[in-house]
Amino acid sequence: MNKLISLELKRNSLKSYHISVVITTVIMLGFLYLLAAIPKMDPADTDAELFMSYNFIIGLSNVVCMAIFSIMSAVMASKFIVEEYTGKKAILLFSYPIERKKILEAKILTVFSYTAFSMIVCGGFILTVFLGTERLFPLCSDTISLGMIWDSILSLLCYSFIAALLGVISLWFGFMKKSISVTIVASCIIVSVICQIMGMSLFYRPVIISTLAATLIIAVLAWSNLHYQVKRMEV
Amino acid sequence: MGNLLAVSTKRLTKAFDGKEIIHGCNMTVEKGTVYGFVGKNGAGKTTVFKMLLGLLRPTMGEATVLGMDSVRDRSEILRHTGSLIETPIFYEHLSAADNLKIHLAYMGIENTDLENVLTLVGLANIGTQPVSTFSLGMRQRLGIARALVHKPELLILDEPINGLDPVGIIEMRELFHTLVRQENYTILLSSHILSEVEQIADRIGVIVDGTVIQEISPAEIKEKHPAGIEDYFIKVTNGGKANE
Ligand SMILES: Nc1ncnc2c1ncn2[C@@H]1O[C@H](COP(=O)(O)OP(=O)(O)OP(=O)(O)O)[C@@H](O)[C@H]1O
Ligand SMILES: [Mg+2]
Repeated sequence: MNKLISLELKRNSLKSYHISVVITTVIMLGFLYLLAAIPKMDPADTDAELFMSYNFIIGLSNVVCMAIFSIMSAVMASKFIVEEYTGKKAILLFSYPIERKKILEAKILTVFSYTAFSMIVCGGFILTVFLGTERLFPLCSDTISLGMIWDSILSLLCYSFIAALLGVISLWFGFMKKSISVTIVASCIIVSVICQIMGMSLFYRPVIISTLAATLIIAVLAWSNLHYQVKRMEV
Repeated sequence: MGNLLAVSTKRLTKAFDGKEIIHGCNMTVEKGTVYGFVGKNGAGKTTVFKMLLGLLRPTMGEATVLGMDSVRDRSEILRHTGSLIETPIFYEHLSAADNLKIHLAYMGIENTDLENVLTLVGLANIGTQPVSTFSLGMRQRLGIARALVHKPELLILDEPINGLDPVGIIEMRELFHTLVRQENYTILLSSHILSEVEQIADRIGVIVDGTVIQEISPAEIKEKHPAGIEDYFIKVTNGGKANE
């Protein structure tokens, strides 16, 4: 499997994804400070009270991060997977003396782990920098506690996996239609639904966990259906 | 007897959307020979090749390649077969050598003299320019190189000389002869250039509307059809009409 993944990386460069991860990190860091500063901008706004808790602002920034990374995951999946199984290109993939499902697995695993890993790194970095400066020059009136840090890490992990799983689900839509744009559009639609749910529940932990569980189940179904499709594909 | 055959199909049938494109197709290719597959556009040459390579599943009948079943032993067949189907697909942004390296890695073979293979197909000193900048004939040559590079026993080449310049055609003819005579390859190729097939092939199979209707050697054609292979082809592919 490692060999198959390294072959994927040999022909599909990750450079442009690295660049987008760096850009996302910078933007998200700015976004997080902006959220923390909201109550200071307009003290009269009572809604701004929400922004006085770390739990809320970090939760919100994690959700936005998830949205960005799951769309990046869909872009990557359409490049690594949908495109290579479309039209005559599939002849090349199917001419290798390797089980079709192994190649597919290597591809999905590459996209999945890159998404989850890069989001964890990006989110971890943002969190460290933000909490570091908060300790020295607090913007937010909330207090930093071990429990709150732990919660933030847990939520980051959950959202990272959700982002990666959503990539697999949008891949399924795109694969059905063998279309790059369907993959990306599906991803945008799915991710906005999930963001709505998260927003409404105010990042209530059981909701996050159930969303993770639900996306996991759907992604596994999508994955096994993709296996089936690839096995039966004729080119 | 069976192990002397590189390819044999039995009542091979393929239907697309209920329409039988290939039906009751029987063909045999002996090991160590060049088999030329000819037929009009749309007769089904590419479709038969794809079934031999496990890219398409037969609707009925079976195909045996190197003694193995085309559906069940797909991977094993692919490991020992080199193929070129229609216009070959490459990783466009990579160089010729990198394309071959990736191919070898998937084939599970290392340490092949890539430069030597590229020279064989007339792509010596091609350097690192990406395949996207290649001309039609250069792609075709690289496609042949890719079919050869993992040292298979059988080559299945769909219109391999398509797009080659006259010298290229002669070079390929010589290359194919060398491979068969000296390295014990078996080559199954299709082509529309009848004069070339006549020179290259030990045996010619004619496919008409999805059925191989005749397998014959070039010598027999010469003997029975003094007017030449083109005349023979027209007569055979038009069925009874030419005899009226
Ligand atoms: N996937 C497919 N779905 C439906 N019909 C197909 C498919 N593939 C091939 N056909 C049909 O099968 C027939 C044979 O096609 P094939 O490509 O095998 O012909 P060919 O002998 O290789 O022709 P050519 O000399 O033009 O390359 C054609 O009529 C084609 O339209
Ligand atoms: Mg063809």
